[in-house]
Amino acid sequence: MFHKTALQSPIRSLASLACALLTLASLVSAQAPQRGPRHIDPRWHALVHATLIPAPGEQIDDATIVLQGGMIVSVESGAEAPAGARTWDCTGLFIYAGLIEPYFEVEASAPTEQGSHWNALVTPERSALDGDGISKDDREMMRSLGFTAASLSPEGGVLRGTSELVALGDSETDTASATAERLASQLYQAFAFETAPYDWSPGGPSRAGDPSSQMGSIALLRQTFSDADWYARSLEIYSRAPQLTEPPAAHPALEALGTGRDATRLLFDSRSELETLRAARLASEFNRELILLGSGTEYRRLAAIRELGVAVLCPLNFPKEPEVASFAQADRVSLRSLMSWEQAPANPRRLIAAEVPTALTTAKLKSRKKTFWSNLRRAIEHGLLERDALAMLTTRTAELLGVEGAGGLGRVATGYQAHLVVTDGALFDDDTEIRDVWVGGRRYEVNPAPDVDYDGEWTGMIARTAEREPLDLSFTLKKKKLTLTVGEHDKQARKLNRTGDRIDFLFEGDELGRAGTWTFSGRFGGEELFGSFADSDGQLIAANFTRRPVEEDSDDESPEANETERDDESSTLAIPESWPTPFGAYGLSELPAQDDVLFTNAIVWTSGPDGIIEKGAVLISGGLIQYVGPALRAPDAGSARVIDLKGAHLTPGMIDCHSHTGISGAVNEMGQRVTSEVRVNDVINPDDINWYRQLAGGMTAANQLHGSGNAVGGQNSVVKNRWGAPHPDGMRFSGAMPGIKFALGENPKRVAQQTQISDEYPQTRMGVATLIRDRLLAGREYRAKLDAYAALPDDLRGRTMPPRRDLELEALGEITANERFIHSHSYRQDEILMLCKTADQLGFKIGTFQHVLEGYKVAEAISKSALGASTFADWWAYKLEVIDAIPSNAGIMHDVGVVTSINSDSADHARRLNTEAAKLVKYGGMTSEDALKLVTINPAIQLGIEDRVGSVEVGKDADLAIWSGNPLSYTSRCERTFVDGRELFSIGRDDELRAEANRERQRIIQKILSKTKPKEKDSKGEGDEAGDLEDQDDPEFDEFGAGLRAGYDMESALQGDCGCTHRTLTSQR
Amino acid sequence: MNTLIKSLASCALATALSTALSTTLSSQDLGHKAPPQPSAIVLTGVTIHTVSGGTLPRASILFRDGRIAQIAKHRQTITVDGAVEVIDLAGQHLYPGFVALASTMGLTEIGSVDMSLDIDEAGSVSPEVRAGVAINTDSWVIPVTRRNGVLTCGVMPSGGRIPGRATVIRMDGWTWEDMAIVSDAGLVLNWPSVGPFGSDDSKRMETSKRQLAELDELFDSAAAYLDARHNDSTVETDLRLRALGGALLGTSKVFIHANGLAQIESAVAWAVERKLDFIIVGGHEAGQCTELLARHDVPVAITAAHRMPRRRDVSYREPYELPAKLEAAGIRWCLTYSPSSWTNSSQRNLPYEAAACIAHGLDRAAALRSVTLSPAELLGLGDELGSIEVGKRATMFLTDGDALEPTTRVLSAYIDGRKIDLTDKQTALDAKYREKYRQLGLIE
Repeated sequence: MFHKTALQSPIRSLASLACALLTLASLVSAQAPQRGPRHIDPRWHALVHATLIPAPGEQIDDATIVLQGGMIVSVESGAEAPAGARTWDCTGLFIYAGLIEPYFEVEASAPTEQGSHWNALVTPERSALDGDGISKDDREMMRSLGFTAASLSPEGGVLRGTSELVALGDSETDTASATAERLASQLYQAFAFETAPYDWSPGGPSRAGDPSSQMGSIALLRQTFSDADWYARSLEIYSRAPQLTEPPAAHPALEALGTGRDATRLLFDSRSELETLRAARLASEFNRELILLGSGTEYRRLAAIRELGVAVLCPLNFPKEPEVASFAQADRVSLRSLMSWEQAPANPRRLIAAEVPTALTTAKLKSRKKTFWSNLRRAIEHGLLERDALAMLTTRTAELLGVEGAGGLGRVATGYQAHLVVTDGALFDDDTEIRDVWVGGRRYEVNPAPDVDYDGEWTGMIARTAEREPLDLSFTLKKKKLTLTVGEHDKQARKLNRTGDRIDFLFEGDELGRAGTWTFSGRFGGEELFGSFADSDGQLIAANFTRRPVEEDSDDESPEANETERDDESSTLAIPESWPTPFGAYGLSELPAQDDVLFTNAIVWTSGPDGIIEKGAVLISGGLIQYVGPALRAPDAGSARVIDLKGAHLTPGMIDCHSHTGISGAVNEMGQRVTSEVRVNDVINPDDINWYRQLAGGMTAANQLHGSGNAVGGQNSVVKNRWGAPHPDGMRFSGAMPGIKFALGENPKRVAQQTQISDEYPQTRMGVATLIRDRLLAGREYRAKLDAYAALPDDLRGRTMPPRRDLELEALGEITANERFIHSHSYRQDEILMLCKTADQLGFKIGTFQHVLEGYKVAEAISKSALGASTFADWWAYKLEVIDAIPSNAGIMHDVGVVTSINSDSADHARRLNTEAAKLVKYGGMTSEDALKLVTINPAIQLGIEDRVGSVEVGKDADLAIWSGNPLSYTSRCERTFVDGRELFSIGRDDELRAEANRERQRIIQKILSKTKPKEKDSKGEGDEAGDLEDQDDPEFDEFGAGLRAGYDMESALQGDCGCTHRTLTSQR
Repeated sequence: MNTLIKSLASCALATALSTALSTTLSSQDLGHKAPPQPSAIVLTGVTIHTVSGGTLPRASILFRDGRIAQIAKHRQTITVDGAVEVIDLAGQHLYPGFVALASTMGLTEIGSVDMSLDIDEAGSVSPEVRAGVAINTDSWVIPVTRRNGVLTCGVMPSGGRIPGRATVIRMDGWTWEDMAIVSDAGLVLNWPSVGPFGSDDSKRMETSKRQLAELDELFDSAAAYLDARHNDSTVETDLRLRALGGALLGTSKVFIHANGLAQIESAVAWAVERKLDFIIVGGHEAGQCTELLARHDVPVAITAAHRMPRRRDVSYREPYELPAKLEAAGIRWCLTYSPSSWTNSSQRNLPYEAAACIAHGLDRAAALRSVTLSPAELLGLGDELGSIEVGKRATMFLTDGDALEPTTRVLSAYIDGRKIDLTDKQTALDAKYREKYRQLGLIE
């Protein structure tokens, strides 16, 4: 078998593939004892008089295709069939190369050998043929769609295993389990961001260690790829100095993964365009070649997908037609869903237009048989050229899989595999049927040649017998009706039975001048009918009829129906060619420019040394603040746009030091209790509508935090609220201090108690303290080991086994080295003090205590050991550990010298950080100016971004909010929000965006409603309303509903303790 | 003897008062309740936000035996018989106490601790249970909530189809009997989800139909039971069915929780047909059926303005704009939180729900009314509470500014004329730990 060689270099010679195939076949048959006499199939055929489409855009008329031994041995127009070949008359038929399915999931058993990966979802050493392969039914189903080969891929798991390209025939050489001929192995190694739902109830689906979140799944992949690199490096070092080193322990999983560009190419099974971008980042991090099994939503961020330069296997999983038949139903459907429904069929066309190498796949269809061809035709109606479609099923697919060229697949040409599709018309025509497919030189009938139409008027006679004169007799046959005529007499036949070319009926002889009941049985042959009557005496009388054709009336196809369909099509085709980012309502058609703007006549809350400037002006240019000061001394506006604020207030953009907005695929990784390897910035979701809502509350930067289920949680992600960013990574706040979530108290205790693992740490605050100390020490010691290795002289290092890179310990090591801030969920003073003391002893500074509702009790310790404290204004009494929360907490901490911020921990509260901070004037005795700093410069300091944002000062980023009145008043509202000097929100623009969204909504709803006669199969499509997207990226994901279903009060989307907010909670239940 | 009082400053008194406030270390949950109003009290120099009669700057007010006796505008005089305490509060603002239509005050303490929750009785239908008998008068949440001016609360069980019956309480009292203003304030009913369901969701559609049928059966059998009992006194007691009597006869209110448009339409049709005296609580999509609500004069208690838009496409402003929409349509409405353990500890923020709507076009006076007089009316207490009017209960508070602003401090409060202690556990902890930092020399 040809493993990597076959995939790395496409099969170029007929000999290599054919020989390999023959070898394989003989090997397999050698294993099975012969039973009964041999069956010999010379597989030598000539298909003649065909209209051949050897490849897209080419045509050979009257073609003769000669197949021998499973290969195509000649293709020629008008050639004679060679003597000895079985000849098939293909007059009127079309022949194409057999279609290739590039991704077909099959069950494959998990590896059980020693050295398999500790996580059962990581099985890269698995092959698609470790199980039963593709079933007989599926092979037949795929053939019926025109496919002759399929690349099988193991189903399920994070790292799933390698593919096997197999022919879809039912070969006699198969043993009982090997189901098909293997054409090529290991064309790719499939992976996906699969997660195991968090449910540790007895008998629940989760095993400890299985990632429950998308970021956990990515972290698991990252560590595994890193391990594979390390394993390869270890083997290399061992090979250099086998006498000096021990070989690394055998590890089939890591071995299967290989390293870098030499490794089997990766295939990513994507559920959304965002997942795709994440996977591509991961693959490039490890210098791996990548191919995508698309999500079907690539069009939404096509430019970013195109940038990746990777090939896409494009599914035809178009969303179901949204239900909009009543106002209430329509009201529930988002514009994003409506647009997805409208745009999805154009996805293949758009990928081609963007020059993304694309093949089509039947993957992700719930019923391939019902949907594949109808959806493909819809794609063609939406502008996909038939020629491209054919390439995407044959030549392009072969190229992407590396099995193009002689000896390979995808073309009908000499030296190619004998894989053909025979149709009765042009492949993509609506009423074309597939007649046969040929797989490896064997014919498989899909649809038998239709019965000849024998309807018409037949004339003949009842032959002379000893007793009777001959009798002229004719009959008219029309479907299930047969009328006999003798002279003037007509007689209906009874019990007419027609099967294929056979016909039987009976009739009463009396009126026809014969006695009794007669029967007739005959067989059509061309324009003649041969048969015999049996008379009432049981005597057989031969009869022979010939046909006189009758004119057909064509009332079958009503022109009306056609009309409707045409209307339908033309309206389907008129779809918009551009759309906003993010996809759906409130997206931006283009990113606003970084204009020069002079704000005059403003009350400027600088949150900086200038305090509050009553009659101030601010000039921004190129995304930066150029002037702040009295309006009187403001520079000349020049070409800058002047915005006269007429006494309105201007503040720095709000900064939320605790957010769970825009995190795809669950906020807390529940699989392990220490998850420092998990990174929130792997899963930034720029499409979360809450970003926009928070812009409308003046929020311009946020600290996206992991949940609080784990004593040591995941790494944070500091982002700017760059709504409309073309790429999710564009939201990252570059230069922010790296951080990580820790959690103390009830949450990590509760989670550990809920696992099925006995004695799972930590179940007490004592255990939390111990686990944290242990991990921090482990991180420090790991770092020392790495440093020692790095310090080795070059020659010695080249002969020393490298330490394994451990991403969990790496992040922990960064904490003690003061390179990563802890943001620790905490409530009670004992646990706060514990972490302070741990930090003091290990010599590092804590970033922030989060929530920290008893921070007022140990403010002096916090001010010494941490950069600050980030708390709520007045939220309390939701759990036992917060019964001592007081609304002056922030005020006391501030007074004692702690840099304090107010955060949201809630998509709701993040929209009004200003008024939350305002409560501290009342409860904490703070000045208005200091209160606003709780949500501006203070959180900036806590996140290490105070040199860029947090105050209105010259040289800082133009991240600003404009308020209709005092920002500490509930009666003021945010009028405009600028990020990097771009006006990403304004009240006026919001009105426009909503009006636009509503127009689009109504246009698409009307389009659906006006379809008088929906082509049920075609336009309804299949799949969920949302397409096949993950929940959070899912336009239909109804947070409110999900919360209610989870039994959580969603009434005001309460902020809570992270890990207990709605989204995490729903994933916890 | 008649005493003539003019609006004069009395600085000494005011100073003494504030000192007393800041040094009281006892938290209300450990402290004692307020004694009855000892004598007539006159407050002078205050801006009175009457709610029902506009704003009266530098006015005076007399209250006696727990009720408001006289209100005097600037330069008008108040006449008092007998002993009177005169307090000049120049510059302060007087408001009627905020009224929380729905809460779980005294029924829930800590959201995540089951044993501290008494809101959801077994089974789905429990009209026989009444909130008033289970109110923990020493709940920590009560003094914290009233410190921000919330002085009257509807207390409602929650969970299931019919969680039970509501009680209206004053936020101070030795026992739950002391606290009760209306012990049986109405029936709480959570309307079933009625769609729209997807065409492939027949299971939920069936469930919905069944739930509606069950409601009908419950009310029909209750009517039959009451009829039987009326005609035959030997019919045994069914507390559950008997508890529906008030609702059936229209003598007791029904608080129907419904948010979706279809839900509201379904609930209104049902309740109108049964001639119930009812209020829609929730009402998130009430803006889409104002005509229906106006036609049947159905009041709506909107559960909060600070909530997420219903769906992705819906304007972020929609929740804030809903009140003005109902106001313009002439519908009676108020703002409230929904009764839940999670929201209960935040009941003190009720006024800010109204304030947030002002930013989006709601009239200021209407905003204030929506958390004072309107909820009082919807609880059947429009003649007793919710505004500063002669004859009403002297349940009110004083501030240093606009009570709808988060920066405004509540300085003192009266419930039925009784001066309420505005310290609580939180103020005590504040004082205790400020003392710590004073000892450490970190603050002055």
